[in-house]
Amino acid sequence: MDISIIFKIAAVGILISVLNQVLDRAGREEQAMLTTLAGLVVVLFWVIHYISDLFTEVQQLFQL
Amino acid sequence: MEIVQIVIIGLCAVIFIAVLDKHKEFGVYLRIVTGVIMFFIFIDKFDSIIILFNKLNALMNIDDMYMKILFQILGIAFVTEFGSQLCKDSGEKSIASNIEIAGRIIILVLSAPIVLGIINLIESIM
Repeated sequence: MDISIIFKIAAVGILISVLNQVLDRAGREEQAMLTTLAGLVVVLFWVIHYISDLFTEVQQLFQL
Repeated sequence: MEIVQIVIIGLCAVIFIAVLDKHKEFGVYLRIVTGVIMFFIFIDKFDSIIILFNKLNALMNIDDMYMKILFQILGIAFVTEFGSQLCKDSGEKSIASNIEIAGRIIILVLSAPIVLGIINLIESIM
């Protein structure tokens, strides 16, 4: 279980918030919203693997 | 020495959640991932506990069914706690309480045979 995922998520989050600010200032609120959503979907794919690992491990460990 | 590792990971996550305060969604992701990573750190310790329980079981020749139910209840309690605390942290207290109620009901259902066993035991003594 590598810890780099935390830093990856934080990096994507910071990038998204910066992009959001820039696009807001440029008057394109829709694109800002879309970039936020895109960032969320990317991070969701990463996180889903971790969640499925957790639940399969718990099931296997506790013989659920 | 894993405890130092866990605390450092937790503090890093807290800092990143504070940084990403404007976008709450990333905070939720960070909480989930931190919880999963910490689980995988202390999971190795748990195997030794299971071995200990099996040894105890062999010594006291308790019926294997009770030990199996005990572990299932432990697993359900852990998952329920994991989910409900995450929801509470994200500010959704009602969803958290729903998860806790569901967890308690499942544990109650699982522990039914144990209760019956105890009652039979008491009847046999009396």
